[in-house]
Amino acid sequence: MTSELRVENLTVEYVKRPRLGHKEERRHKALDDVSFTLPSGGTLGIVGESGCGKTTLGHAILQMTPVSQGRILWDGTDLTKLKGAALRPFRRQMQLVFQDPFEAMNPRMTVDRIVSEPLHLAFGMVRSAQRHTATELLQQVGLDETVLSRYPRQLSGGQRQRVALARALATEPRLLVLDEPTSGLDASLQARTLNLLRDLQADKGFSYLFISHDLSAVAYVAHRTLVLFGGHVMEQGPTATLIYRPAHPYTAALIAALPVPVRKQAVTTAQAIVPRAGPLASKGCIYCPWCDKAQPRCHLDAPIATALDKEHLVACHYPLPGKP
Amino acid sequence: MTEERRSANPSEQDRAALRGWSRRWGAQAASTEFLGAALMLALAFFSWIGPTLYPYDALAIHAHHILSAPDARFPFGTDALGRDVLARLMRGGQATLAIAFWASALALFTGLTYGMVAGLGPAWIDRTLMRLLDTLLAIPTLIVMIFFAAIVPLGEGSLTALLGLVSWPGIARLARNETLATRERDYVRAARQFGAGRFSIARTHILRAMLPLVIVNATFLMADMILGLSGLSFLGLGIQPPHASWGGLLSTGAGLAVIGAWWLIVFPGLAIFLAILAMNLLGQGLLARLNGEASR
Repeated sequence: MTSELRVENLTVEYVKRPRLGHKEERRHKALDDVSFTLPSGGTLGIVGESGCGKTTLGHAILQMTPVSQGRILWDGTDLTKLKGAALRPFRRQMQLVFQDPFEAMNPRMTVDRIVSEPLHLAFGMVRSAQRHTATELLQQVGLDETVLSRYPRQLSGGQRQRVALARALATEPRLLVLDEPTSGLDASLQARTLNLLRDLQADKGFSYLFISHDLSAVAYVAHRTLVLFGGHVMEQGPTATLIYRPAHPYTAALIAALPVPVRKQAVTTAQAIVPRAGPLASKGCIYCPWCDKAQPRCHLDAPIATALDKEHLVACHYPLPGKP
Repeated sequence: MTEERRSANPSEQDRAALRGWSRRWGAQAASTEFLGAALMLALAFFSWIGPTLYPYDALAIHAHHILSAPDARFPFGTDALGRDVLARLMRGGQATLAIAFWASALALFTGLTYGMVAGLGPAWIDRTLMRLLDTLLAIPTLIVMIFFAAIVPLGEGSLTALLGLVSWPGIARLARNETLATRERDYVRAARQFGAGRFSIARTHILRAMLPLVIVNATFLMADMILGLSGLSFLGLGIQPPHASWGGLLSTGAGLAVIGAWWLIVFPGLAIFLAILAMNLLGQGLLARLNGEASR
């Protein structure tokens, strides 16, 4: 069975009800017309700066946040049409590893209880079997059973991340949404976590949706990468193509902002990312106020995603010439 | 050599011994919740076992010893009808503690259930239940109590129900707020992703999050109930004479204390004070332990 994830024209809009004295309701599109495909066993990296909609995208796919438009197809089933009990079996197949593992664990529960909770909920396992399986899950992520009796606050950052991962594995998911899995960790732990994720994928054939602002981490694990800006997809394609031949000025800027060792072998266009100030462009290309390549046309009509080649899509009127 | 070393530094030895001792007994004995529990247990022992050991009955009238001050025969004195105050205090403790305990339990159970249903249910249920609660909160409890006291025969059972049923709306509001705050936490969202339903989330996460609230409120409720019962007694709506309650003893004694019968208010007052102190110590200690466990 191919557990393929297909997202079509996904739009998530937050509507703020009009307050007393204000007539119009305020709308904010967190995601606008996002489409991509994640094949079974693949890793899709989602890159972008804070507030670009990365986390919302993860939550929308897992049906944790309401979708305004578009479809989310999992094995051909549209998840946005399902509700409550009908959705439950699908929920188990896709799990989220939260951005902040500490906040994602009940502070009054021991690791044993935390990892056992999904075992009970998904499989109705009895207490003794739970403990046994919990130990196995912890071993898979490189922890031993001594952490079972600890509370989340007694764990180190790396341990917490692993416990969160072990818990997500408990329902035997096929898709893992990893929301900034390395952001709270130091460099060596980041590398170990990324290796662990790669090993697990090779072992179990998981699909990953790897959400990160760290392009080098994404480059390490993701087969394909999608660049988000202000809720819009700027560019998507094979990770190597994106890194070595970025077509969108924003992708190029992201790469230019990487620390030097990676940058030397990679790119070219040196423009540090300008901190975003003021509202996003309401007309034309959403990135044009920050774009150094912007032309008059960019301010008027929004570019649609066009294929540069079979795999490589870019939403820009004037894509950068690829350097072979 | 060892002898020499030992004598050379005796204070360290002592300190180590003391540390060991305090780990085993001292720390535990000194802990607040232990003190509170011990005091509560002592009061329960006093109220339930006391009457079987003490020679005088709470209702027996000693006609030649009216308003006699504490002496060897009546350690806590006698009241205006010549009844032994210590015996009445013991019997009164049974009624007071039992009513306070069960009424608090009833108020907590009702309040928590109501609050959780409102907090976890769909928005229209929440809105309906909360408006209903506002209405209930707007009715003065004393009026309700007087009204029911007038139509229901007053006994321990009806007083428990009455006190319990007027005390839960405040708890319900707190419980609903806590539920709303907790259900948006990441760990509850994670539980939903594992397929947890409302009931499972309420049991596993919401109740755990509400533990501090429950402990603090159980403490205050017990104290409130004891005082509330005294207030009712003062209005003549509490435990009916000739039966005793601590509040009742206090309110009947108040009139006579001004003419010098101090023992009629000092001992019931002390009993109420000790019971409330015990509950506060217990609650404080449990809360401190819980927060120590949950915080970093």
